[in-house]
Amino acid sequence: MIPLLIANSLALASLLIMMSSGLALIYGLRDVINFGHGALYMLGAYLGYSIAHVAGFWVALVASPILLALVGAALENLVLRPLQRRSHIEVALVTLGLGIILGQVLIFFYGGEARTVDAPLSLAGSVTAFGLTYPIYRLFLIGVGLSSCALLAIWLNFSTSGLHVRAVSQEPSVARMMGIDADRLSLLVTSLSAALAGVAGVLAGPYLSVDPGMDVTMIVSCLIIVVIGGTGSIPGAIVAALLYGFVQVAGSVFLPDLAALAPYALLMAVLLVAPRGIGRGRVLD
Amino acid sequence: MSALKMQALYAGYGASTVLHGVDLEIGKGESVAIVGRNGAGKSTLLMSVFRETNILSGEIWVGGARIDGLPGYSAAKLGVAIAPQGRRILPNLSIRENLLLGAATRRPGRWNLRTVFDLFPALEQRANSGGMMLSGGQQQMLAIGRALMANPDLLLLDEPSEGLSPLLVDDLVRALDEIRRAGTGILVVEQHLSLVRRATDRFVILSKGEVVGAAPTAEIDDPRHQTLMAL
Repeated sequence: MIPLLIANSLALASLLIMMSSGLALIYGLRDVINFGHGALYMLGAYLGYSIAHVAGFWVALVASPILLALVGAALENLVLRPLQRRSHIEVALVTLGLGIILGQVLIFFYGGEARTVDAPLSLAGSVTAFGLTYPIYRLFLIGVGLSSCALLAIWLNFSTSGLHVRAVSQEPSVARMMGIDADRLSLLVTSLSAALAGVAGVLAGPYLSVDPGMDVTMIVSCLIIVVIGGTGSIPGAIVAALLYGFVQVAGSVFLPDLAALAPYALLMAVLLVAPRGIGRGRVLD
Repeated sequence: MSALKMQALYAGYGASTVLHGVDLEIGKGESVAIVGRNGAGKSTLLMSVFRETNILSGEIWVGGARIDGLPGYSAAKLGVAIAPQGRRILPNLSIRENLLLGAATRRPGRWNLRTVFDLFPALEQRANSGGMMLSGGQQQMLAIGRALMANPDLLLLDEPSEGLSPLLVDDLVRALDEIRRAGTGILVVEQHLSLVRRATDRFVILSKGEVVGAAPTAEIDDPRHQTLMAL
């Protein structure tokens, strides 16, 4: 029971990690919560659904993030950069509006019913280990989630651009005086965040479903995670996503009637103990 | 060609104008001090090079390029680096990472991690510690080292002796001498004249956002200049 609970928590957390770390990255750099991030995830899922039908799951898993990265670049160049001197709430509302429009456009083209995506044959079925029988696809999902965490940490800690992202997140004016072009970095980060949303969207197809409400469900979860993690903190977001996944899954097993409230209870409990969240600051803290 | 030139520069913060038509020219390899009372606009003058102020009118040139209309990061890329007031060390980065930040311009030249560590050995000993673990003097070395990593033609220093003991100011003067010998010019904003006397060729007096005097450093104790500095 407990190993299954942990595995299911990790599977859910994997999707949430990819989404919330992207959200935290943009917040760290631009000081803006991208309320349209859930719609990017939904776009990634629907694109993945369409591409998988034509060319298969693996092509979708590569193509959808690339297309989403281009959408992220457009978001940066057409929205975040021109509005960077406007107040945070104004920019956040613009991203919310764009997210709603994108969601409605997808519903217009795909209809209101939920769609399912089959896992590829190589990831179908289950494996049994240590007395636990578990779907291979969910193990794959956990692997991708944890790998994305590791790659993100390596990039931020050991690359020049990662160092610059951390610097701009902490002290944008000092970073600027050192010759760092924050706009160029922001293009990279927004594209990367959108690509991660694309990966999460494609992976969600066979795990959950592709449906019109998935953007709202995801952005609400991500906002809770980012606040619990300490706004803008990626390690905080990762820990918060793991906590969220566990609370959500454990809640649905032990208290199914109250499971929907479990994340909010977690949010309140964490904020009562640590009002600024788990993380200590921006990006890597 | 000058390392930095300002012509009729008006700049400030928000609705407030701090600099009123500043003209200033720093030659390559020169060491110049900006002196004046608190609130004279000395730091604003330095910050304007990086567009950290509102530039209302006038021109700023770095090398042969006019930069007052360019993004703030352009000055560093063109060869001006700064050790800002208060050092502004990034607390969550290690000393090594703080230094590497200065190399963002990728300008070639003498200064790299090795040569900066040779100049400030205390930084090498604690290279992997957090920047805020350093004493005030060491933080100043880190701020200067970070600026040198950009291999600038001109190094701007904003109140570098602030909070330092006389012994540490001596170390700072020695380091500035070595930096000048390496061919890097210096523009230093200072209230303490002991550093100005020992580390600069000439000084410019700023009062209420205007240049009101300038002379070789040897004349800094002249009562006429002292009067202007007190304005």
